[in-house]
Amino acid sequence: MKEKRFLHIIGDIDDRHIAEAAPKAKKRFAPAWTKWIAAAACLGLVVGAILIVPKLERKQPIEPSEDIPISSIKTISPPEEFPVSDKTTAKVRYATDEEVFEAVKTGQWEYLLEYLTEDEMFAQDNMYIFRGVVSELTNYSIDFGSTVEILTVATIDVQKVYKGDVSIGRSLRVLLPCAVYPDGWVYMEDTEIISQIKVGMEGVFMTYVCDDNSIYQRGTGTLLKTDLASCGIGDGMRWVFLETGQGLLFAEFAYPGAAGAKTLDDIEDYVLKMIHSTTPTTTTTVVERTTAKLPDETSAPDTNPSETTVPIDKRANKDEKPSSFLITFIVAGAILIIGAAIYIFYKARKKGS
Amino acid sequence: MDDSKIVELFFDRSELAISEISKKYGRYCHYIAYNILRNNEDAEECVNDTYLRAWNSIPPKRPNKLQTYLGKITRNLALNMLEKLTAQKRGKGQIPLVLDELAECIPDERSSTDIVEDMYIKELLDRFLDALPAETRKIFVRRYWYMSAVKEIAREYNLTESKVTVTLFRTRKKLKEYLEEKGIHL
Repeated sequence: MKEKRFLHIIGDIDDRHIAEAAPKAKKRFAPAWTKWIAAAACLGLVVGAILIVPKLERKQPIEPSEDIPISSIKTISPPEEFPVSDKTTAKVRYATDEEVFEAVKTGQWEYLLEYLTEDEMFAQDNMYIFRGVVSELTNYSIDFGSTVEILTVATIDVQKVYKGDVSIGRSLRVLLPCAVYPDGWVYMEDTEIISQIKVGMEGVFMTYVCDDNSIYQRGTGTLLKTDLASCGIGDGMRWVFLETGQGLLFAEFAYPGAAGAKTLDDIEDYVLKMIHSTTPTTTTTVVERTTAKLPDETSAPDTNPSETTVPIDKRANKDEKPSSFLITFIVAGAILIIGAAIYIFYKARKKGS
Repeated sequence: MDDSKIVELFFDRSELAISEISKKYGRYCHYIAYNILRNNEDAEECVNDTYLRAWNSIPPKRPNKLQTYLGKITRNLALNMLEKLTAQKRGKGQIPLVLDELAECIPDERSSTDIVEDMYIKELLDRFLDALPAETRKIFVRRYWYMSAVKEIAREYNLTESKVTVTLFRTRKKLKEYLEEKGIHL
């Protein structure tokens, strides 16, 4: 049958098209009655919010990063050897701009976007989530023997920490999953977001944490990631929210809950909400920006005595009396019970008739 | 785990490869199989067969994109399984609807099953898809590759169902004209 034949032909279309249209998130089906309970719970939350929000501490706006113009591009690319540990067998040196250009042109990186829901993305173990400004981009040439890869390390001045044990003011080195072309932006498939990063850009970053087991292997050559950076970005599309100067840039398909976000402050609210919802017993801390800045990652300890680290729950309520929370919970609980009672009454009446 | 590492596990004949693809792409494959078969048990069986097929084909194959490589295997297996199930009057879901819709964009009936012609049509189809606006392309692929329901596509792309239906109708029409222009007669 001709339709069946066509169905099989379409099955062989290019991988690009299939990956592009891949479903965003797992569909979850819930019984119809849950919407009533959800509505009641939402109502409870709204009442709770009305009670609590006016008393919350006003959020301090992040200082704009006007001292580093976005248009200026800074790269360090002297072709010198870069010292590495014994666990790295690859030869690492700074890459020249020509090498970066060639690598970008040929698009040597091929990444698959692991299919994760936004809940799963925020529930990842051992990750840093922070807000900061890119202060430096450094390209490295890594010779694995059988292949040479160019990768970029972004140095990011941390301004706010949402998750993970990172110090405020620290210059954190973040390994990017590709090279960044130093003079403008070149389209590279699957790296559309991260390849637009520039010195001076402010963003929210979700990074995995590198340790002694973070080995990147190509053929027989190895790179211990901690030789280059203390953390890294998982792929070229997700895990970053960049303020480009022309607007907010992030992988909207991966973060449906952030739809409509216009500024990094919107993203901050979204990130905090997601961290709370995915880690109820969160150890997340919010670290506010201070004027003191540590000189460099290598000399900066993880715990800076000058920083102000406040557990997120405590921060939100440091001026709040405990009784307000109690009232909120009672009101929310009462509304929940009323919602459930209405539903049961409705069902019983329907059954009776 | 990185895809290249998973492929290396296949090459090392480590059974860890199966658990890794199951963890990383299990739900993706299940989604594809379920859209075709509309039965959880059948879809699960199909996904397990996908792992077996991957185990037997890697090596020698070294897929560039593991996700779509597995997706294609799953889709083919599910379609084959559906044919068997349809013979037993069990097949349901989106397939009959999708087949009816696709019939519109086939210019003419012809009995040729020439593999070379199929490859040519596939090339034309890729070119046709490349020329489409991104959203239209995604809608088309979601409907005819992933077999997603119109309602689901509308929800995911924040469109109305009628908008999706009209987009699909126009794209099928364009495809029919494009194939006719290239002298394709299936």
